Amino acid sequence: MKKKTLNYEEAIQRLEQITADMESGKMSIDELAERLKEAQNLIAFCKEKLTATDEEIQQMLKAVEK
Amino acid sequence: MTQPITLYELNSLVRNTLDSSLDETYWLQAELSEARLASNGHFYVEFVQKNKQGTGLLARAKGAIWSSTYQLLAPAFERTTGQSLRAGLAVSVMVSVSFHELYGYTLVVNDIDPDYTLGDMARRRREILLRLEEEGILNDNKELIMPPSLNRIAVISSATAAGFGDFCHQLWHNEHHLRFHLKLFPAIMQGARVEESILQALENILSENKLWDAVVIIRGGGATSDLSDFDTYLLAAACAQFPLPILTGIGHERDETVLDHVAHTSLKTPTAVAAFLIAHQHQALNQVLLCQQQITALTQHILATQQEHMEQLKRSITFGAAQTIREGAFILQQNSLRLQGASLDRCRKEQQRQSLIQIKLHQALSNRIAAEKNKLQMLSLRCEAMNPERILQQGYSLTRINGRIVKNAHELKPGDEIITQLAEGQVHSVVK
Repeated sequence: MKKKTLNYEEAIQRLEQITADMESGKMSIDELAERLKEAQNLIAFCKEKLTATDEEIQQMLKAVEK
Repeated sequence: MTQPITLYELNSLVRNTLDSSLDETYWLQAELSEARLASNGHFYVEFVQKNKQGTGLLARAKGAIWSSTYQLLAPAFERTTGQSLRAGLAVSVMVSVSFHELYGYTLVVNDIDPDYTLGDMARRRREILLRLEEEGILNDNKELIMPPSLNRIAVISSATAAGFGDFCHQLWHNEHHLRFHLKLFPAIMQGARVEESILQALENILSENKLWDAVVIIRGGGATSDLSDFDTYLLAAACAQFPLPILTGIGHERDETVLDHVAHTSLKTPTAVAAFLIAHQHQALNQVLLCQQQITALTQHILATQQEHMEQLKRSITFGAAQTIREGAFILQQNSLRLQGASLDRCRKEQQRQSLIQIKLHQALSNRIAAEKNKLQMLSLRCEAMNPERILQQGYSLTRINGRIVKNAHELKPGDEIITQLAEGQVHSVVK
């Protein structure tokens, strides 16, 4: 995967591109499987960037209280 | 030469002259160059008037707000202007001129018009904003595009942490579990060093600006504010030109500082800033979830369409195949009928031809046999005519010597034994 250098903005743009491509109705079944996999990875990446686990939040709170 | 008088007498004279010749009160507009609250509760100030260039003083006078008056005026002033009475402010005050034999000339403040100070502060802010506009940088920060995800936040705030701690707490305890990375860049948020201190913090952020999505400038609640500390040209210019969007929450309700004007997003309080960030991120998360839903729905739609298409193809193929088979069978049958017809025809013709040939052959054979028979008859008749027995019957005889027929008498010499054949029997003779 090329996700190493990807940032959030690029990820969300790519997601919207994939959505638009799907909407255009020109996507083949072969391509669909590939795009779907990519989209799943991008969504996971974006969600991870936006949300944190409880554990992480507790750690951050501890750090600021010190 | 008049009689010398004492200092007290002279000062009394001045006092009486002033008292009798001056009005009881005047509204004075001046700038405060000093302001301090004494331990006895009185508030001592110094009024100055600068020359037009602002480089030198034209006039100076001491002033005082007596404790009882100060307790009435100060809270009202602060409420209106968001400022405490302090050096640097332009004020409009109702003063009575007092001259005391011991303490000298003092302007005693009886009333103060906060609106004048407010107006002056507004004028100063306008001047700064005008200058920024002329330099074309006023809206630079506002025009930055807010990134879609805004959760790496450089915070400029006071290091005495209550405000910052509350801010962190509020962000991290959001109900959507949104992630925020925060780092404090401590600065002094009150007093004369605000400008220098915030400029330094901005510089520190700038040196690592790739790590941050936005800068938040907040000041803990409850600080009795000297908002004009934030109204400086250098600070405003630095914020306007900062490459990251700046969000302010400097904790005031009435008026906007220059900083609020140039900031990308200006909010009233740190709490409001946190709420804004949470809302922004929640929207970003919703966008991702929406994308997810759309992609799922679209995938299903595409699959369903393709399946439908396939079914249709299948139906078309089945129908087409049946049709083709039917057509094929029909053509086959037609051909088979034609073939059959043609074969029968051909057979009949062959048969006719064969029987014709047979007849001809038969004819030819019969003719030939008859001819041969005839020929044979003739031959037989001829043979009959040639038969020696018949000739012998007629009286002729046949002579042989040693089995050989004798046709010439010279062939014989005396003594030869000959046999003569007659019609009936043989005669053996010897030649003489």
